[in-house]
Amino acid sequence: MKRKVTCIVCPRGCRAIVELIDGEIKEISGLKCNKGDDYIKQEVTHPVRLLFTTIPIEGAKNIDVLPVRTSQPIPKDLLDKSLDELAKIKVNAPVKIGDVIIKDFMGTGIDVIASRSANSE
Amino acid sequence: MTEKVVIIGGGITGTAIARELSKYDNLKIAILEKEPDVACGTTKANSGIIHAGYDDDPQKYPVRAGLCSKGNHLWHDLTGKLDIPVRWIGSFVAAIKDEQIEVLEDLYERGIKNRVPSMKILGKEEAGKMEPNIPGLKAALWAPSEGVTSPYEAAIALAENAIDNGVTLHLNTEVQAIDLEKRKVTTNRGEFEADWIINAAGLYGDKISHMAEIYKSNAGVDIRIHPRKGEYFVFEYECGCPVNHIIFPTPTPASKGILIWPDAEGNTVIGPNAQDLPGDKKEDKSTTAEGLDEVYEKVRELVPTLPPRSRCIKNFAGLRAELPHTDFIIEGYNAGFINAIGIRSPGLASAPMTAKKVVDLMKEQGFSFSKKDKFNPYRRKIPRFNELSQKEKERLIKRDKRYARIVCWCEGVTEGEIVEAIKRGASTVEGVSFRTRAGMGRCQSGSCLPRIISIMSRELGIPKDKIPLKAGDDHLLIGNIKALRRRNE
Amino acid sequence: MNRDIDVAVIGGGAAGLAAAIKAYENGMKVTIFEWADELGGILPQCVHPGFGLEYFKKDLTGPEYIERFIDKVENYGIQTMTNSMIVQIKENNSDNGKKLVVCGPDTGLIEAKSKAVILTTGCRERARHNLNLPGDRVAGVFTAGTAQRFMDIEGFMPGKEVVVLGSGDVGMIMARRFAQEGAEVKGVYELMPFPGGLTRNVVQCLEDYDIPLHLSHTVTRINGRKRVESVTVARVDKNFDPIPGTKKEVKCDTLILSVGLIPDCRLPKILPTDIGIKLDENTNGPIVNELLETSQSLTFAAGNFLMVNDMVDDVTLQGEMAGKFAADIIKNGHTSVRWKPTIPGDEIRFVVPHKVSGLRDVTFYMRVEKPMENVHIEIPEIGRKIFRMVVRPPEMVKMDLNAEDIKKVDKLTFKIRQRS
Repeated sequence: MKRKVTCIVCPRGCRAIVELIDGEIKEISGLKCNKGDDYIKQEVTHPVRLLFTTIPIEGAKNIDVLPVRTSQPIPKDLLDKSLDELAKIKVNAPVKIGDVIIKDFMGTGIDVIASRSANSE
Repeated sequence: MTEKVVIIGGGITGTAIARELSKYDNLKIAILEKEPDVACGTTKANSGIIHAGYDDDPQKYPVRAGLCSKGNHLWHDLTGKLDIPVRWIGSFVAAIKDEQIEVLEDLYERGIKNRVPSMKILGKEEAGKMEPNIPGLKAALWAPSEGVTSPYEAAIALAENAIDNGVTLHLNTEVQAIDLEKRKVTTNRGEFEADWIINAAGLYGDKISHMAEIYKSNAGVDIRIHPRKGEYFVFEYECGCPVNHIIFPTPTPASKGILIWPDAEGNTVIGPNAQDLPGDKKEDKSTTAEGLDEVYEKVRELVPTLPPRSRCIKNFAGLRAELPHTDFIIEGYNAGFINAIGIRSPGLASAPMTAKKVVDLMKEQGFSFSKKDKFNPYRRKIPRFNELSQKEKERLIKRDKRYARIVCWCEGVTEGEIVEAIKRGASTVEGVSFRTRAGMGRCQSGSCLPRIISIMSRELGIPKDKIPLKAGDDHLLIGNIKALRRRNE
Repeated sequence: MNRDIDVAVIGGGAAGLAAAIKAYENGMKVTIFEWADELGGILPQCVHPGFGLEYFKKDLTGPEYIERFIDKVENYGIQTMTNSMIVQIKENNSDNGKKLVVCGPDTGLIEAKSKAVILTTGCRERARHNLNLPGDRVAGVFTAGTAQRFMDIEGFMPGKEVVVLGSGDVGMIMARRFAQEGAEVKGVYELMPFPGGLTRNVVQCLEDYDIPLHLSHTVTRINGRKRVESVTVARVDKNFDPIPGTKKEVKCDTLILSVGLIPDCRLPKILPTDIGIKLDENTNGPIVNELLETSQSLTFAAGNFLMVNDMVDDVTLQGEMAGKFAADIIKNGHTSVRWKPTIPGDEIRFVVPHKVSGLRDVTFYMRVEKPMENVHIEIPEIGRKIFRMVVRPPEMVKMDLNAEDIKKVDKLTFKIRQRS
């Protein structure tokens, strides 16, 4: 089976065509250089994304929502469910940048951490 | 014995009438306005020009002609008393073809008939000195008494002064029925007793008149109002203005023409065109691609150094209330009902005189007017921090340090002014904008809108997502950021 | 508050913080004046990653990036005034400095003296009426930055059924944010036949979330009674005029405008010309020399106020330059120099800086007018050129030149040539 993937390593944005047989990459065509090989392979076999959003925070100076992110990229197919999960929680000030908000998020072994510090009002 | 007056409509006409009546004893006056603020109809979306009065043929349009120049004269004093921003810059009717000079002379004659002061027909050289950016200018009719103001600020000022003198303002109050016999007006917020009902309902003047079963004027004109749409451009203050006065093209029988002028703040404004809409389209305040093109191109013919379209900071359309004969109807009927309707141009200029005419009509119907001892004719606007001297700024900040926090950086408007606007009755973002100019600069409220909403939420004690932009239920923000995701549970 | 300072930094975002830190490190007495209630500029509301890839060699979110600079400012004890604006700048000719009037609730209205001013006030967003977008006057039309503020600082959803006009990075990023929070993003409409932002964003903002991108399209009308109810879209021809017969109504309650940024000095009712600054009509920002000094002596510009940047890393570098050069000139005075102009050739919209001396190496920033592949950007007077596989308007092109090369010539024309 064939899949189309856009390479994002440089501004050219080559459209690669990846041929898979039994889930294994057989051939990659359409790339004008090889800088994108690793990225394309990852995108096809095990695509990951950094998850980020903001969650309600109480008692903070200047902000009513706290930006958070996963400390590492997580599997792309978890994004939608992750955002539903993160819609359920809130935190209280003060918070320090890097504080763990949720440990081992969705069983990935990766934490959701605070993306900034927030002082109390 | 106190008589109850109900004024239907809080636009420029209704508020002017309220203030005028508040000078007298034995009247309990209420303004009923269906929107969340005054000036929400035609009054907020027009040119703001206080016309001199040479436009209106006293034979064809006796009511308009009879009110305009007198109203203009009254505004010269009233803008000072009510602290309304105004620039008495005068107007030019520009002739760019030889045959148009005759029209100028006709207008001049008409102006004389209407008692317009100090007009002059200028020749090419003199006109060119006053207006160097109108190539092809051959002659001009100069009328120094014409001025430009902010029409909604004028109505707000009239309302504030009227309230200070005992008038009550009922917002979000829509008239549903009128019973002249029982002397009452039914609204969505209850009944109002009314010995006198004054219909100043703008676009809906016909609807209100019909509720009182008055379908024709005393002269037999059908009371049927249709909207006439005019579209405008307002340009960035930073562009400057290529003209120094209010510039009219030479009018044709069809229309006054599309104008260009520096408004009360110094921004270049152009418009309006004229598009008649059917009577049921009174809520169609949309701008159109064709209308905007027409306005821009027509003015550019006259003034080629018009700012570019990309430096427009506001396009808007205003609807004027047009009766079949296009004159105003300001007259009384039995049982204390008075119409002040069909107020299109020069409604703003006429307003203070319209109000005096209503007093005359009430006199005719037997009311005995006696002047109050304690009428306060003065009203002070919200201080404009950015326009004050350093000493005045320091004094203001000492009084309330919220005047030191600039919220709208385009116009230099402070938190103190916004808080004061809310104290004076603004319950919408637009109401705050109208009273302070916050949000009316080149960034078109992009930076200050969240701050205005925060301040309003705090001062009014309501959540931010319940603050309306203009109308009570326009849902500017739809809810908490997680509201949609949480629905999935 | 110390009212007699060396460097006044106006605008406490990425450029301003970098400028303040560098000036401080070079021995200057610095004060940062910030309009908002906290430092950071636009970064605190840019909660997505992609910041610092060059400067820190890390992929940080906006808030993470800027907190590093805020921490440094706090650790150095650099004087900062938030909720404050400069309401007057006057050249103090006797003193050889500037007289400032500052306005803020903590100090009231006060005068201050500064030897130099660095303007790092960023941009404003182009909005509906700059486009003369016709239609109804309704709630629900937001510029992307304003919508971002509501969502990611204040915690409110601006809408639930969204159309985005403009496929610049900010537009695509906001399309993703809306989708992430459960809104239905009907599409991103782009006037040009190519996306307006980074390819990375086309993939990770639009493709990831199944948001259709409609190139060569525009919004021709906004429809609704009190709130947006739909927008009318149409395909455009090569002159960007709507093609008759292609109009379609797209149901939505929100229109997000991401249609351009304009550098803005943000001083209330003060024009750049009032303070002696000449603007380049191609960048809408100030004309500067290689010291990032404007046409007003000892008034500098950096970051998005100088020109619209794509990467915050460049903004930081510009801020640092302005801070360092301000300090240099304060300490050593101006060197008498014969300035050589830089001239953008065809297909190059602008080159910054506008004047160079040959006394130092310079990094030149430029943008191309249209996307091209396999090109050389060269300065024929010098004979230097760089090769680029791909150049696109949304991506700033940078080119470094040595002092020796610049010294040799009277002017520098930047030309772009297709490689055969």
